[in-house]
Amino acid sequence: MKHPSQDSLEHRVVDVVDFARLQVGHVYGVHELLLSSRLVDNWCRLYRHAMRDDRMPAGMMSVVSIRAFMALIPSRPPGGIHAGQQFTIEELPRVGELLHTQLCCVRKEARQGRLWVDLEMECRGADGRALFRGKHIALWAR
Amino acid sequence: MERHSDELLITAEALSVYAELTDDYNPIHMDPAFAAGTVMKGVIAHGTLSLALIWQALARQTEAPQTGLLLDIRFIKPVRLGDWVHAGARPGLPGEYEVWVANDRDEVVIAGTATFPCN
Repeated sequence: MKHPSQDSLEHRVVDVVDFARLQVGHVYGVHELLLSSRLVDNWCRLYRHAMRDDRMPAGMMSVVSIRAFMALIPSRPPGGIHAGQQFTIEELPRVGELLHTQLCCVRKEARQGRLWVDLEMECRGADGRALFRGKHIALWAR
Repeated sequence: MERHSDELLITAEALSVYAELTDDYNPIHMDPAFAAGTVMKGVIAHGTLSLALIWQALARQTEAPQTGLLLDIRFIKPVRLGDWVHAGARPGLPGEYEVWVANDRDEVVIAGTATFPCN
């Protein structure tokens, strides 16, 4: 009979999303993030950014997308590289909004010894309106 | 010397703040001892830490609107602790800006384009 800890270890090993397990077209979920004033204030202090209105600074799209990526694909082989990034803005969210970011694998390709993966992100407001889209271009470690 | 919002000194504190912002505590960005044993041979900054400066540069150096803009960049070189990085934007092809981030050795670390929809 298996010890419960053995089940946990096997579960953790199986959970690593290596290149073979990535599925093009698979939606990895929707990540929720409250765009709090504390988060925005910390950003503005780091970048000496002066808020002109109550809209999220455009650079914070990276914060939203990285948080979604880390939360929705938490178990990745170590050593991966963030190779590129795309962003398209429809509308920047307002401070205090609850953001919903969906993550989907749209491409994976082994080319010249490297494992290329494109992950598309679509961020919407709580009312469902489109805010911005991104593509995280990664080199998967294995 | 006055520094602008499209420039940033990469300090351990900056990396710590950015890790908290993004919830990305990868030891390659945080732990000098760990990072020294990797192919990077030392701590490197999160790529998007420097990417953010491009938005600041577009706002400060151009009159480009943000809505509808497509930003497309590649990370070229790692950014190290102690680097000063600065971003720039200049007109390229019609409807497009060339954007970049460079370090204080004038090495380009991020390069790409910001493209605006056709009217």
